[in-house]
Amino acid sequence: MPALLVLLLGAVMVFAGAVTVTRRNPIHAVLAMLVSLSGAGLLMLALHSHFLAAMQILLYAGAIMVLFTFVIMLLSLKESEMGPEPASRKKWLAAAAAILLLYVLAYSLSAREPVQFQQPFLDAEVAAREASDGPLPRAQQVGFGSTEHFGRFLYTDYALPFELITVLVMAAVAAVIMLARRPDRHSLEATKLTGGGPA
Amino acid sequence: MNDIITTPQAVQIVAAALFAVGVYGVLARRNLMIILMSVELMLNGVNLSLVGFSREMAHLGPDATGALPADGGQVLVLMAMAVAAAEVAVGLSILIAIFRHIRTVDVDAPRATALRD
Repeated sequence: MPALLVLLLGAVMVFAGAVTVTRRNPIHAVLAMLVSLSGAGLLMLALHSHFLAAMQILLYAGAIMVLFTFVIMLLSLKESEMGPEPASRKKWLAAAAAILLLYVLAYSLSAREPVQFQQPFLDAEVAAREASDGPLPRAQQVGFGSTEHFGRFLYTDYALPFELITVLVMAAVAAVIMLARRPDRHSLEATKLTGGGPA
Repeated sequence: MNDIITTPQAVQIVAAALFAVGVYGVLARRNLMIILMSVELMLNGVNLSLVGFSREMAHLGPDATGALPADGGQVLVLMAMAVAAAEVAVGLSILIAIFRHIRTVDVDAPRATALRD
């Protein structure tokens, strides 16, 4: 994929990201973010990471953005509940910090030796075997970034981190249940004593 | 175009720009929901960068342990996605808990409430 196409797609993604962080209405922000995340999925597809592109669409654009939408609908925020707009001095300072960061990142990236993408090792292997043995069955055509390739290393070399993720997700589920449950009588009384809360 | 900027460089620039947009959102906004979305944008930028670096190494054959060098980047992105999903679930439930108590999603409001009491 030529650099120009990557930059064009990147421009769309960054524009959608900029819309996300500047909109006051959270639904507009979520929709813009959906564009940005889908663009990242497309870029992963272009980078020969097919399985990750599918996960990007399923997990980010699917699960996480739907979760945001649910919470927005659940809270149905009124204008007064979103707080005042940040001061314009704060916005300019934040923009300056972000641009400075981008400059430093771009500067350090430009110091790298320029490389080009080459044919992935696994794809070259498949091509070499097909050249000598004729067409391979589908199950043996394991290209880089495919689900088969992922399955190979995820359940061998990286089996322990993969299993540890389940512990993390369990902890997150427990935390969400704790946080989202209605406050019990004891904590309600504590809220009344300190004067905070909707009462 | 390819003599000005190579495709791997373009990918890294796009990833860095996404990260910077996320940094702006975290620093400038006061709505907790938008801040969470900005954190997602930053995570996404890093993921994209990792995918780009992994693709750069994809042509290398197995190393001494028999693993492909590019596998690490791919699996790290998958782990980051799982962590991001867990983080969003916990972050949004904290948001709901805060909203239930002080009826606002303004990140400066909890401190103001605590000071007032």
